[in-house]
Amino acid sequence: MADAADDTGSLTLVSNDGFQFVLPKKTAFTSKTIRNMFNKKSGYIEAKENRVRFDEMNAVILEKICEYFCYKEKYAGRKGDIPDFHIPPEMALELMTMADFLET
Amino acid sequence: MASKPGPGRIKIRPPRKGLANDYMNFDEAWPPLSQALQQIYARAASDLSFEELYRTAYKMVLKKHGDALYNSVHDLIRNRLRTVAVTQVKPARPTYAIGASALERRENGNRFLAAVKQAWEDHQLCLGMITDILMYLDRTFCHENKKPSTLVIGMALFRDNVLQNKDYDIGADLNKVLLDQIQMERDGDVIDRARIRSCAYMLEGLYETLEEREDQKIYLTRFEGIFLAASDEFYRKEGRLLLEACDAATYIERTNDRLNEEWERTQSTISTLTEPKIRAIVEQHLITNNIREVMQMEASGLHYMVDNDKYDQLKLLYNLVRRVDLQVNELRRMLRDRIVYLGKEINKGVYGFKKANATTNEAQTSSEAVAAEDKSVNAETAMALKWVEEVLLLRDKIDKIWEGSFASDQGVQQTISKAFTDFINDNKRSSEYISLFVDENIKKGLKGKTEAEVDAVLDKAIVLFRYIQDKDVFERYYKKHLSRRLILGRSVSNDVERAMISKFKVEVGYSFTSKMEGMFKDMTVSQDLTSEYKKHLANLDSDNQNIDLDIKVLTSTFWPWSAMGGENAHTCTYPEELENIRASFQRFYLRRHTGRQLTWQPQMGTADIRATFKARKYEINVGTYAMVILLQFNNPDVEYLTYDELKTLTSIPEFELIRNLQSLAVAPKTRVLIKSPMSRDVKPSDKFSYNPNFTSKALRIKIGIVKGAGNKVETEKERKETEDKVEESRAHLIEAAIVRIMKARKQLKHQALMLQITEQLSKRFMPDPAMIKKRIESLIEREYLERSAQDLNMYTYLA
Repeated sequence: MADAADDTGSLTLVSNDGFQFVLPKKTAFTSKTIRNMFNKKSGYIEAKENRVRFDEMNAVILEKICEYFCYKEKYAGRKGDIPDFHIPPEMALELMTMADFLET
Repeated sequence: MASKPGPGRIKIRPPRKGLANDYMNFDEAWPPLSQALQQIYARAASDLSFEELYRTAYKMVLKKHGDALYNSVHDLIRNRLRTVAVTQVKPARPTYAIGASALERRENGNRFLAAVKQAWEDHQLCLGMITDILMYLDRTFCHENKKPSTLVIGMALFRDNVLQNKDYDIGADLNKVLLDQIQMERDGDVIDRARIRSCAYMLEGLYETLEEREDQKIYLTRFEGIFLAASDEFYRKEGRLLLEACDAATYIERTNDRLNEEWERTQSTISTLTEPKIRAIVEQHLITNNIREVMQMEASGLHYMVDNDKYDQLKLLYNLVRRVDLQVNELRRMLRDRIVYLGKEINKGVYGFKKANATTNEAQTSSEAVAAEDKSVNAETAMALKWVEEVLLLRDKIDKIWEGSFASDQGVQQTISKAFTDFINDNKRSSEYISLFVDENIKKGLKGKTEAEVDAVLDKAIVLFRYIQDKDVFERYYKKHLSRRLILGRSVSNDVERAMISKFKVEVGYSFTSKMEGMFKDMTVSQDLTSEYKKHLANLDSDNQNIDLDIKVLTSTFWPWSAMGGENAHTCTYPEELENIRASFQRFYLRRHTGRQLTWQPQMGTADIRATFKARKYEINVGTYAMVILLQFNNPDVEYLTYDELKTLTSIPEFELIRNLQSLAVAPKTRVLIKSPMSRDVKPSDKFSYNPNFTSKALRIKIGIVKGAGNKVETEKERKETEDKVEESRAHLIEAAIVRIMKARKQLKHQALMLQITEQLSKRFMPDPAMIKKRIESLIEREYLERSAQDLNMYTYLA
């Protein structure tokens, strides 16, 4: 059903402390979870409002996640010199949990 | 000694409390989720936050409530589907009785199908949304515990609770309605294909078991079998019905339509999976079982189609038969029978003609018999040509059908050839007739035609030639006819003759044509010889120049002597002036080629002589014998000559003398001699005299001997001779083949020898086994071969 998500335009991701991140949909759809939210047929509130509120994430983590989305989009499928994606060690565990949650 | 923390050690913060660390009670968390799922089913999901639901499910799985969530969701779906079955689908169940009107059936069926479709689509959509939310459950819990995913379970639940609902068997109803709708379409009604299609899709998307094996689709297990059984029944009836009601053309059209229809059905209405199976059923019932009967239909079957050039029908028929039998054996067999039948009809013309003649001939006196025979020979010649024309027409017709309708099928072509071979060889005279056809065309038919047209006619002859089995008989006739054409100068052009010969050469090889080519060479050499002889005479300055001699010297091995009458002794006492020139040429020739022997064949020659009747000068073209006879009267002292006197004077063989006298004195238009008493018969005491009252409108007249110079069919007697000759030459050929083979093999079993001989000779004729045996016996007698002492079946070659 995920195929039915329209990936043009942009969406807003909101952290629990009120920070908003605007991303192209295509980029955000790196996360399967986010993509499912925007499934047109289902018509959840996220799809309607074009914004997702993550009650479990603060801005720091969400920012890092958005960074990763961009990183992934930029380098996916490329060969050769791909720079490492830098993750501060103190965030690692939390990011892993989130990656699991978002299915990235 | 306090140890310092290493510079590389980094403190990893535990994830903040929230997502993973809260305590969670399933019984508290489930109701909101359950509520939300109900909302989804109610199509009111727009207020729901996916993130929230997802997070809830996520947490449940994380907090080891996966099992509870899994089961609760299934219960929820199950309940929901049961409700749907009862409230949505059941009311729409078809209620019509058997025999209800088409409209009622359609409306009723449509309503039911629509309900099923709606239930299915709702289910699919909602299940999709639920699986999205429970994605984490599927990914982690199901994966780890090896349980089927929510989607699979959801499908199975639909199967169990809607389609195979315990209380009302919706699946059975669905099958019934689907079959009914398809039946309606087969009967020519219009149905909602898209709706049926989506139901078929549904059946295809559901499986018997949770493993979802491809061969366990509900479509295959529950529907297809019934569908095929119903179709089987339908087409069994349909086949009978069509056979009773339709002619062949309609039958094959309808069959073709049905095939297309069923194909289209698999594409647009039910599943493509069924395509080969339903096709097999239709082909079985409509083609395999019935097509033979269809082809045999009296007034419209294969015979009718072939006879009336129904190319389209034949093409359709061919394509249909090809579906079930790539070799189209049945079609070929019948086509062959038809061609042989048509061919024999043509042959019948020949037989009928012969019979009619045989009866009229008997009652006549011998003199009339000769004339009647001539007449019948003429008529039969015309008929021979007609026979060839008709065979060619048939051949063209069949060829067109072959190209247009049978896709130039190689196998069918073989059958056609076989059929032609059969009936052409069934007519014992076909060799002669075909040769006559060529003769006729080269003499007359090809005048003023372009090269391409000529080539086409020759090719036709070759086509027929190919069918002849006894090529040696044909060769004999062709040589006979060719020799007549060459000596009498009747060919339209030498090029055409040569083209024909080279075609034979391509067809059967050099040995077949070598003698014919020798005949051509003789003709050219003779031309040179004649002109050289003329020069020679001019040099001699003799007084013979008032006679213009044209000589043809023929090599005896190339030319068919017997056919030219060369075997009977041809004596002839030439008048003096002729004898001189004959002797002169003989001297001239033998001086150039010592050791050769010249035999004169006056029966083949012609002469132009000038004669005066009633002060009018005529130029008369006659045969050499006739000239000799006429010259006997070229003397004012001769008042009349009796037959006996003529015989003594000319020493022409009696048979030829009678014939020539008949044409000179009896034939009404060319009566230059008077015979007394006037009768058709020539008796030894008859008197002949110069006819001073002869008149003719033309200044140039031609007096042919009764049996004219043209090539005609043979009389019975001649045919008997020819057959004997053929037998004789075959005997030689067989012996030669035996010796050739045995010389190479030294020892050979009887069967193997027979086989090899047949193989070697079949290009020229089909040797008769009895004849071969006779030849072997004869060779044993003459001590070329002997039977092996140990094995009577074994022959040994004696050097």
